Amino acid sequence: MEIFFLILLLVIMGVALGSGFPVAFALPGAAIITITLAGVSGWIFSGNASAYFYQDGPIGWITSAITNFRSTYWDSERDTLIAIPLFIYMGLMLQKSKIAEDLLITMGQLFGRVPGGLGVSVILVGGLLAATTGIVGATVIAMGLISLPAMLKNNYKTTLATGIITASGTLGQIIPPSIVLIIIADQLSNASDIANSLRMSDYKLFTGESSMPSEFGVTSTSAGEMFLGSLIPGLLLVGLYTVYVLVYSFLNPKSAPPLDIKDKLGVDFYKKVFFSLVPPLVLIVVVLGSILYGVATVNQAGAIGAIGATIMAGYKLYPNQRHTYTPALIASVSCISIFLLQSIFNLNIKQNLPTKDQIGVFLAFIAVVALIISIIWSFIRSYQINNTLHDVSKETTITTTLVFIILIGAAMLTAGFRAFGGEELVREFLMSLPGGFWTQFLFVMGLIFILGFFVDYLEIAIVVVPIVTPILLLDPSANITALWLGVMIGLNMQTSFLTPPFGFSLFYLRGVAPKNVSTVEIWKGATPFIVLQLIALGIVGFYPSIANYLPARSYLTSEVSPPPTNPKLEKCIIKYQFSIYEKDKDKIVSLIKQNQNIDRALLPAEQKELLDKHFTLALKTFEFVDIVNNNKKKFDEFSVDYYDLHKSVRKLQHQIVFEQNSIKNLENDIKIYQSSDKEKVIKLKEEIKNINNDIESIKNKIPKEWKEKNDQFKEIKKAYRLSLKQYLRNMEDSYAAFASVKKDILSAEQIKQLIIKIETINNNLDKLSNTELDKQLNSIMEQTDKLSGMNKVSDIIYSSIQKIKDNDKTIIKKLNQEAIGFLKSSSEWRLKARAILPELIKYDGAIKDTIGLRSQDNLTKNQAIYVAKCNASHEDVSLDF
Amino acid sequence: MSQSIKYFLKFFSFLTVYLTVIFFINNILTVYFNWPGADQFYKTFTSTKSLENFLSILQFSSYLLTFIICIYLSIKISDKNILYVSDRFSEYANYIARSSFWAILFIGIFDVLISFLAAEKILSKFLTDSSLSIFTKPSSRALLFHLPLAVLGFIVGYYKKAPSFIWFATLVVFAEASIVITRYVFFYEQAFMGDLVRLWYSAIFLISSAYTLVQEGHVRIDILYVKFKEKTKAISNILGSILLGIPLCALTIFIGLQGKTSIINAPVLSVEVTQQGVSGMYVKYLLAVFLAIFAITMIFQFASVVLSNTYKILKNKY
Repeated sequence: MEIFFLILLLVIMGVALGSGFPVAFALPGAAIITITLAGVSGWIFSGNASAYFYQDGPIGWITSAITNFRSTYWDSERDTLIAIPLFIYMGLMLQKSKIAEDLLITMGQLFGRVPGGLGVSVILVGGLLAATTGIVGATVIAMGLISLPAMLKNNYKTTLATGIITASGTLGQIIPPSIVLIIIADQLSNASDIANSLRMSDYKLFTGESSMPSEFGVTSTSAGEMFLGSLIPGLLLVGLYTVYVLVYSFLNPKSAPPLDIKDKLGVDFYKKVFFSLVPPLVLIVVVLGSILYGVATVNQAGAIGAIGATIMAGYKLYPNQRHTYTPALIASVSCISIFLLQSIFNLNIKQNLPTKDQIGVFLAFIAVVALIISIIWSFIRSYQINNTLHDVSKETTITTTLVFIILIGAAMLTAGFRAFGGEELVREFLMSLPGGFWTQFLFVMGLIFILGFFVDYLEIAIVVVPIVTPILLLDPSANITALWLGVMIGLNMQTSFLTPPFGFSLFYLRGVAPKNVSTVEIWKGATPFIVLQLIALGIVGFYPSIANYLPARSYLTSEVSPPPTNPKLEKCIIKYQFSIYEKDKDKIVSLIKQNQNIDRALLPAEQKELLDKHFTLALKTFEFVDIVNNNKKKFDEFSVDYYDLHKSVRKLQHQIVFEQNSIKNLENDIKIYQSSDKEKVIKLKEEIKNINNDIESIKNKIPKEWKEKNDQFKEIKKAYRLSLKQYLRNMEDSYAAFASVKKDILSAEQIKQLIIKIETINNNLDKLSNTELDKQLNSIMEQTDKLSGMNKVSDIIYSSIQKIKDNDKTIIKKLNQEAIGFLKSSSEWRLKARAILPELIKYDGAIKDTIGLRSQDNLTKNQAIYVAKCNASHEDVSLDF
Repeated sequence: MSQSIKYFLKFFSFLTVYLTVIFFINNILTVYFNWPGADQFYKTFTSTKSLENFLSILQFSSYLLTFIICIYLSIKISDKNILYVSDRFSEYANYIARSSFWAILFIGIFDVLISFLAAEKILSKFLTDSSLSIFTKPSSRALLFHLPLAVLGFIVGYYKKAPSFIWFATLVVFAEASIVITRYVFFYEQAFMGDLVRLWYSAIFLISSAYTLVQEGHVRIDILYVKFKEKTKAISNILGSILLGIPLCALTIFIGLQGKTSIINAPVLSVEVTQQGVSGMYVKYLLAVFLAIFAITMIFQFASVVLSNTYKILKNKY
């Protein structure tokens, strides 16, 4: 019966959407009605309201639907959605300040002198506008009003001209900041949580281990990452469009002739170019740059964009007056001076700042006040002139509302879809497709492409993505990142703007194009660009690094980068090390051997031993490397034949689990009908029997050699894993020994300082108040705690602190003396050993890429770039499941 | 359009609006003033508590009375006045929405100031412990400050007719920009700043939804819709509102306001906050109230849509 209500849900939804009722209410309304109907008919026909649900009952699902509704804004994990109104605001403000018009006219004059140049300028402006306003409709309309007549007047071929405009207008969807990307990221982070928990249960089922190591988890994504990930694909599209137009106009010179411009390019013209090009570029750099360098969150970048756009609007709306540029000038000057003050002073007002920095804070405060004045000034201008602020705010409100109510409505629909087992059904359907991941993937992409002909991107992103993506993310053989999938979906959905009959971009151009341009010409013009988009889709699909690399690199080189011991980085770091070993093994060995001769006469026995340990273990590294390489070779050789067997058996085992689950469901049904419908119970029992037979036949399909081969494989894998672990442990032990000696020697200076401090305390003991004494001794204890081998000093100082309340200064003095004595004796060798410190430091630097790598706090830039590249490609982990 | 359908549509619209109002009032009486509730009516036959019996009968009969009034109104209101009533319902929704804006604006500014003073321990310098608790206890802050400010908002909303709630978008820009400035210049960031952004941001779409419907802002899949005749469009809107829109909002209100542990009542009753006493604002419970405001304004607007489209059909016939 669930199936019936699932179909009913889809039918009601289809009818409601088709009849033109607002999507935002058609989706949840359909879910609520179907749940209610199922509950009521279950109650009437079988005496149990939950009878027709996949699991749970009607009240539970309606409550869960309303909870889904609330969670869109209630939970703080969804906070990135706040960026949506901010970026809409920024886009609208820029649109109203007519930057598109300026850019189109000046860039057209700049590039128009070469064949196809005008077309290329439209594409480039499209890319620029995409990175600022990102509003498809507005961009297409502006281009249709300004560039289309210009191109037609210059005898551009009509289809080429319209194609360029419709395609460039859609770039806003994929070039960040883009609303769609934020929504996809939000949906995908949820989907990857689901996929991850499914993977965990698979791992548990197949390996028998209780917890899955995090490196096998599904890689989730965020809005910021999506922005970075789609940057290169977006530029790739711009590049493809440009190349196409240039090649086309080279082959058919008559279809895109150069503009006939008489005036020379004077200073005035370049000034115009500067003023129309630089401000939007600065805005792009600030907004995207702050995300790229991990300085600001996506929301904060959105606020920066909105404010920046208003300041730009402040002078665009108020041209050729005395104070046209004053607010913008004040804003820039105060931003630059804040930046300078930051580098000179410490402006952290939460700390107790010295007088010098307080002056800095005061100056920064003045700069902030100036900045705020310029912002308010710009807002007042936009409020007064043409009612711009009101219109921007109103349109932002309406656009945000339409996006979010659909988001909320679809979240409620999901509850209905799950109530009738729809999610399971889609999953089983996709799983049953022959050919594994790539067929599933192509099917989903095809579905999105086809849907793009009829519905717009919002519905696809919000309704389809959460249902189909968990399956794709789950598959360990492809092991794709959520980020790459998101970029692919984004690129795919972009075509929905260009596909007739309902492509938005085509509609908007139709609205503003001259009458003699026929609709069919607009459709025809879009076709080559759809092909170009599919080519871009293919390129990014074939080289996932295009999407994955930039976010990975920005993350690994940022301030919040993970330590090298992070399990997600392990594979690539080992690969990095091994590539160096292969190349420079002899060099490294001779380096270690050279340094083995470092003069150790100055060190005490314990430290000597540590250094010895370090060098022996370090040289041993290569033994382990050989073992690992050997085991890896065995593993790889065995996997060649074994891989297909493993995958096919896992698939069969999946089927068995599925059948077992359906038996469980039937058993539940039997319980429901036990008393009311004896015949039905007999039928159900029959069904269970059939399924059990199926299970047997599936079990028989598992090849006989499976058990033996699987055991063999497990052995080989275990040996390989173990050798890796040994290699890592050996390396870490080795480096730890070295690091401890180095740290000891480095602490010599600190100990010297400490001795002086304690001596001054002892000298002034009578003058110091008890609280002051307590404070000073405590700060000393804090420092000794951090030094190695100084536990005894800490103990002595502690007992000294204990004595303060007894007011017994002589004992304190005595204890302090004792501490000084101990410090002196232990610092003696350290001070002398400083002679070899430069050598040690040099050596440390030399082993940074090998033995010392994993013990660093952060990866160096070169390492980070290598690891980012390595992590950016997808790796098959199906043999680990 | 047959006579019976016309009367049904009129009756249905009146009923949804007035039932929502009565249900809301009864919810407040039951949950916040501990009245027995209309659903306890059946107990009055056996119970001996006279006051409770009386109140329960009162609550129960309020629903009966609503039914009777709605029947009376649907007969009495002439076809010519349908449009007027539709506009009234739309105006109710607008009044609630624009007054909510003022209320949330006042509460947001007031509460962020108090949170700042509390987080920086400025309040505790001037106040004794007992008077400080007026500000730091969520329930007293809500009752003594938020409630009067909300009332003030509804008074301002009565006189200022413009759809003020569109300004939430600009407010969110200001709130987020202030985080950027204090965080990147002075390294100062507190939880209440993020709370303010979240308060105003969720208000954008929950409170403006009804207005967006009036402005035709909600996306329709208009492949067929644009080709419909005026009458078909009107029928589509009436059926959509009655079968999809109103049940959705009605269930949201009914489930959300069902007893003390429900999705809307529970956070309000306990005055839920993000982090008590540290540095957050005390407004998280308001986010639950937004859900009720959304559902109520939408239900009014859908009732208005039903009536205005009924009028369209009738007008074409005359």
